[in-house]
Amino acid sequence: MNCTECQERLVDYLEGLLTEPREQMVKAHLRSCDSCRAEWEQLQELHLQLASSSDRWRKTDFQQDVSNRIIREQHQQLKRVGRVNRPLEIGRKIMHSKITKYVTAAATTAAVILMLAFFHTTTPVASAAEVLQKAIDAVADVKTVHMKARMRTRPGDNFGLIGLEYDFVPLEMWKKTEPDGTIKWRIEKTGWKKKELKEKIGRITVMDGENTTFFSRPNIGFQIKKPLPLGRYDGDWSRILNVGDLLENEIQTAKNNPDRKACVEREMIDGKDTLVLTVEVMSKVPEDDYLRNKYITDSNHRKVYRFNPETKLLESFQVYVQAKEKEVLVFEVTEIEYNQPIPDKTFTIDFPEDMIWQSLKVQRLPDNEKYEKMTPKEVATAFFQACADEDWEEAAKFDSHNRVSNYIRNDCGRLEIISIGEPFKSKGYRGVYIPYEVKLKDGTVKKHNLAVRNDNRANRYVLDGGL
Amino acid sequence: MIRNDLYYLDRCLDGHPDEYRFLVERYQSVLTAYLTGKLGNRSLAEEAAQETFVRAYFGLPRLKNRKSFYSWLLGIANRVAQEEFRAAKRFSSGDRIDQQPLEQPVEEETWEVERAIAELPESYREIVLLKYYADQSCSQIAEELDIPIGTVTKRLSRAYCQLRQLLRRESEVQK
Repeated sequence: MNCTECQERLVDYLEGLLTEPREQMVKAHLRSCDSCRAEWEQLQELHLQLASSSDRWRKTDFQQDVSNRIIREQHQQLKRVGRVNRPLEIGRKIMHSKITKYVTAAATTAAVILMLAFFHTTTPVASAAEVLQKAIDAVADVKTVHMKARMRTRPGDNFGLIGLEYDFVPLEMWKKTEPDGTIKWRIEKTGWKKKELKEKIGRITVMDGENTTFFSRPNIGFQIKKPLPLGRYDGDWSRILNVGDLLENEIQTAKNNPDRKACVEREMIDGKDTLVLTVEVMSKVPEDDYLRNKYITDSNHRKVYRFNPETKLLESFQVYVQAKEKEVLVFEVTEIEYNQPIPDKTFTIDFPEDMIWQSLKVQRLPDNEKYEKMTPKEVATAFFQACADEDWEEAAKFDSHNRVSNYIRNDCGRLEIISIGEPFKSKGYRGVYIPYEVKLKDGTVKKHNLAVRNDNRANRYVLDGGL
Repeated sequence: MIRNDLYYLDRCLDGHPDEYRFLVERYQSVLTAYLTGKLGNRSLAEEAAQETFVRAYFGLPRLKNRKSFYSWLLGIANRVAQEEFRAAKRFSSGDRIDQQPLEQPVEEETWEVERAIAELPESYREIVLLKYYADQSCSQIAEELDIPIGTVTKRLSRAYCQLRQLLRRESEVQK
């Protein structure tokens, strides 16, 4: 037995799946070969590590919780279709009766369709799948991607926010795969380049192969010492840069999710055979939810990918949000370049001198307990009161970084509280929103929702947006 | 007597929905461990695993190939994890927001093994999870996934190889 043969059988050996003579051969080889023995020892070590890690999960037991949740959900679904208006017991009975009953109910309420259809006009299905495979193969050679895009958002706001009535703001993104496989990327909201904006606002996120850095113009940033994948802290749309996985991901996701429809069509454009992938996504966030249509993922939307007939590469991409009576284009890739050299400096950022670096950790305060006990409404009231009194030390206690920006000092100092409303939640956000109305010192009345959250180690509510 | 997934699925769809609990029992550790690897936090992962089971339950009538229940379940878990990421990093819209995403509640554990498993290709990952987190033997896995046992051990062998690399990389990052 040679080394390759031996190493190929190590797992079977470990599992006791070898025949007696084979097992003897492996044993004999291991006795005589140092490198295979080393391999064998490493394998055993890993096996033990996995076994001991998995031990920690044995106590997991939430069967009852799942069962309760199913019953609750059933009850709600039935209530929605107006079949049941009685207490929860009824749900429990139904759970034990024929599944078809509530399945019908669930199907009518959710109106979900799982459909993966390969449309075609002139060619048989198999060749549409072929075109698809070619498109997947074509991107294997792509080393760099550079895209320009535009999105209906606000220049200074976070990467994901959209608004159907907002103007388009330009975006630019780059991704590079180095010869050793290292990936680098940069996503930029270039709204700050607009002349009509008095100050430079906008956002950049760069992953240079080792660290991921966030920069919010004019001067705030933070860094995570890890190479984060695309789409974690930037907008979801940045995943478009992963052109290699796009098609497969979209189709796999569609297969696994009843709330999506994917369809691949072949279109003749100027006599050329073009592959069009359309994906329709239904939002999980209800229509009356605060976040509905504020992010692409919280809207019913249609994504349209077009692939070049010759190169089979992605050529264009659009996202349309399906609002009540209209469909609105909210995101569009306007230019794509493949395999053009990207200078290394793209993956660095020129920071201003007065840069403020933030930590992602919310610190415990000396008097943390007092703030832990506060409800979201009390937090909103106390924060605005501190602004009214220009007590910045107190106001800073509601900031996740214990800092009050100049913007807040200038605009919110000496404000007048008109009203603080009842807090509410959204399905898409882990924090809480508190409606407020205040009169700023320049006389303008501001009405909006303050977002606060307490999923941090200090266990107190801190501001997360909405000012 | 140990029954396979198909048996319980048929029972569920045939007037015994409460037998779904056996499937939950079978896969609860698998899903929680996998989601912990993905989300880096056990309590979030438990919540996400429960959500996955609930969604899967209501999706059962739409599961076309009942033999692939387990892979389908992992697919739903992926989707729930995606939503979890979004909910975690989401900050509200305002006229002007300087806020940054916040850290997750701190856990002592680093879950390096689970994180490495979450990074494996799907076909390797599902086998490793079944083997170690659902305590299934290679022949049980072969039967459950409807593939030859030789394929199971081959994939396991490649999975070990990749896991070693991933864990090595992880320990270098920590240093």
